[in-house]
Amino acid sequence: MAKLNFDKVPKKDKLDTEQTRKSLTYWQDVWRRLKKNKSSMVGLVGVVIIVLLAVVGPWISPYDYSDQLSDYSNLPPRLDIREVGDTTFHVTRIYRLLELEDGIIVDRYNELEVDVINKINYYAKEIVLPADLENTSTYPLPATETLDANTYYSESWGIALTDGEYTFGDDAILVTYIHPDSPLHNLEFEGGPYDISDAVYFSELTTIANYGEANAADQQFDIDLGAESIVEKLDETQFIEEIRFFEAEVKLNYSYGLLNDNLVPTEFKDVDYTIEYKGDESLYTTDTIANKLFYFGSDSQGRDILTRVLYGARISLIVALIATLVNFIIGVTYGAVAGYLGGNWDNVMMRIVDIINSIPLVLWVILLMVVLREVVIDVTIAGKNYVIFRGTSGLGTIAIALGTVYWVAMARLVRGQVLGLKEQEFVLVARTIGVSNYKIISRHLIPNALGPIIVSMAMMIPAAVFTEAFLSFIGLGVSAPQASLGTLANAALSGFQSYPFKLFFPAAMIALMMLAFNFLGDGLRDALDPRLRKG
Amino acid sequence: MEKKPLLEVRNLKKFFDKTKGLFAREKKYLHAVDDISFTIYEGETFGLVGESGCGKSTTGRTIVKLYEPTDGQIIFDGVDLASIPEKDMLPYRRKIQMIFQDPYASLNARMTVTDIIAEGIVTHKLFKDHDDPEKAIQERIYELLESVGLKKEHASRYPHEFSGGQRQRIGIARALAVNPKLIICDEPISALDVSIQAQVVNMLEDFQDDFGLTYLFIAHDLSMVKYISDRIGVMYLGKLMEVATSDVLYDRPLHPYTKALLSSIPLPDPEHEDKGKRIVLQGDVPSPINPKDRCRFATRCNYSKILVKNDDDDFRDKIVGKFARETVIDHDQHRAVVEENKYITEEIADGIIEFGVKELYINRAKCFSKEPELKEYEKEHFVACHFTEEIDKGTLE
Repeated sequence: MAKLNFDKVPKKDKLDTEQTRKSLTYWQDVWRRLKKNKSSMVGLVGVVIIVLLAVVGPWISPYDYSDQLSDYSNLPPRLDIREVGDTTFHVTRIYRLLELEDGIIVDRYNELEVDVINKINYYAKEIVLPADLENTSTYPLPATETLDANTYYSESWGIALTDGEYTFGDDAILVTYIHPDSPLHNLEFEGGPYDISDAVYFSELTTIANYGEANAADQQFDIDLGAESIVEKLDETQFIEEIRFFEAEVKLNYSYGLLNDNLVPTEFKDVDYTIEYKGDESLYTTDTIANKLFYFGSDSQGRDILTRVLYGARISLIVALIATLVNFIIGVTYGAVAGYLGGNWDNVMMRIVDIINSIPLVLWVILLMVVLREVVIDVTIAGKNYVIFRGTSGLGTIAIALGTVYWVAMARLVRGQVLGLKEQEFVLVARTIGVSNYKIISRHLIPNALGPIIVSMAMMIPAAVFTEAFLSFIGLGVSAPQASLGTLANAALSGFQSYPFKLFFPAAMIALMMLAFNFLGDGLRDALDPRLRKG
Repeated sequence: MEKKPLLEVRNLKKFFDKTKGLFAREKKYLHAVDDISFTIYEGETFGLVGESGCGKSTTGRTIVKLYEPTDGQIIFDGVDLASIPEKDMLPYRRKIQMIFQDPYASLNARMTVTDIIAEGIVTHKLFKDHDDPEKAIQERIYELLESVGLKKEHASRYPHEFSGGQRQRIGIARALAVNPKLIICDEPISALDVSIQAQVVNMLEDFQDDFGLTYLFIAHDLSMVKYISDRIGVMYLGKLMEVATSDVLYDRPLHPYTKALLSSIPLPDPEHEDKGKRIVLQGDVPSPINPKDRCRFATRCNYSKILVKNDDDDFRDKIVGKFARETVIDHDQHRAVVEENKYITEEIADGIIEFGVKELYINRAKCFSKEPELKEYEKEHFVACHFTEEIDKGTLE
């Protein structure tokens, strides 16, 4: 016989008393099951973080949601930088120079007027595109104008240029005449003949196709100026803008890389420029660094997007909270009363619910907006005036709109639950004992229907958040300078191609909130579902 | 000693409106309880038996006014409960308690045992004059728990931690908490194990002696009802068919339905079973919606039909004017000549004879035309049948 590998418990060690464990309440049981569900715990953590951020974030942020730093508008969350010497610069899209140190802006330089040059660039592109440029006579020379032997007139450009002798690097073109219709007329040079030698330099003639290979430095050339070559010269032209500050000098040098690709550029090329600072030059963006001034970037008014997203989340949550609370109070009471009273009461009350349910939400919000626009409700407590509701802000209106419409679903749910529960024997027992209707509803019916109610509420929060975002997006929500996630997304649409980050962060916040609440709601439904409960 | 009636139910009716739609031509009423009367004396147990759907639970619930009675009187302790409004019911609610069938559904899963039992005490403010009401209530709950065989430690637990039998004990403790006079037990043991059933029934009997309780015991388990009840009422389709003391009812049932019901009790005696005494009822229970004026049991009663044989000369006279009990088949053309319960005319009678029907069951006109009243046949033996005497004496054809 196999030896037993266990020993009998000696008599003195036997436990005589009944073994009891601490009994779990229903909610402890729910919590235990919820904890087992990973995705819902992720959702719960997400919800807690989002709520904390929304509550605390705008307070601890150095910016207010409405602070405008218009000098720093449209900064992306990651800045392209150029290192010049030991200093780093970021050039904004409107050619403003920001001096950075560890992602913090330490100084800021002038905005550069580059529109004019951009226009030249644009026209040059337009004109260069046809293959036989010589035959293109766009700007005929007026009969009154006479040109000497050294002057070449470009019909494509509408400019007369003095043909001269040039050496590498330092010679100028003398513009003797600019046709009134010529795009170059927009340069608004003063007087005439036009000497733009200050601005125009030749640096590398070797690249000009017409001249073939350059032989050597200091060699003299006869320049046969044609339309094409003019353009190519412009291509090599650099305009210099000087910026003065303290003791050092930063130069942003523009050059136009127009004709790099076979003389037929297919699209507008980005402006190339170099930065000169204290004798050092930087040609290329070397790195990207995090924008520590605005972690999520700034919007077109120079407002911090991070602060505004957090503030928007706060607004969205407030709206969702009010809507859900109203939902809970009205919906549960109404549904429980209708279900408990039953009969004709139930019939009439549910038809009212049907009527309310048939109101289109958007129409309802618009009507409320119109009606409540002038309404301001305020109370004076201890000498201080508190505004409870201001129609113009939109926040109260949208909360009222959601609150008055959303409860019908809750009322229906609770009514259905109560209809089933009120025939249960424990309710009948309560009635035979003589418990009042109020206590039967509040102590017996609602606690037993609380599972589906909570699930419905958890699911209703993301729905309310989404509806609020949608209404704000189409312009029916909170008004400026307040921001909800919907208005932020709407504002980001106009510059979406240039500044995608302005849409990304509010959209990501909406998505995260929806996900977190939905995960939590799903988990709650599983945890509260009586079908999963054992005995 | 003269017995004092505690509860008198007089001509109690409870109809449920089953009319569908707003524009229905005629109202449809489900006659759940249709004119029943009985008396329960103080300290006794009155059993109410009947098959499912016969209205016995509705009777119990109407007595505690969970349902508003359609008509009739519920005289409890000299007060007609049917006529007093809900707001004045509270003092009587304390005196009548109810124990329900389903021990799982009858306890609120969100409340602890303490809260469940205390609900009645709190509602009726039983300890309001006490120095420390909360402590007094707690003591009372412990006392109740122990009296129903549970422990103090159970007081803080939730219903889902108990077995069915334990839950039913909690239900009983809850009913006892308010010191009631009458407890309506609505099938309190049907959902329990047989072994537990005995425990619970014995416990109920003990309490009856200890606290002077009166029970209305609703059940369909005849043997258990016989065991616990002093008197028994048999219900069928909303009507009381027979009321008698339990010994009389079991030894000498007079109503055909009671006979059939009693014959269905399985006996642990194979020989007895073999005797084939079991009366098997044919057909289903008819619809209780707008019932016709006839004996409720007539459609299934073995005594309501007369066998008429064709060999008599007066066969024709016997069947004309009667109701056909069974469908008569036209054997040649496979066609029904007379529908069930149809009045037989002379032509039909001729047809029946012509087709060579040998035997024909016809209905007793009395059973099918008039509803019998519950009449006292002997002392404390009430029967609702037109032919009680004939059945008793065995003189019925």
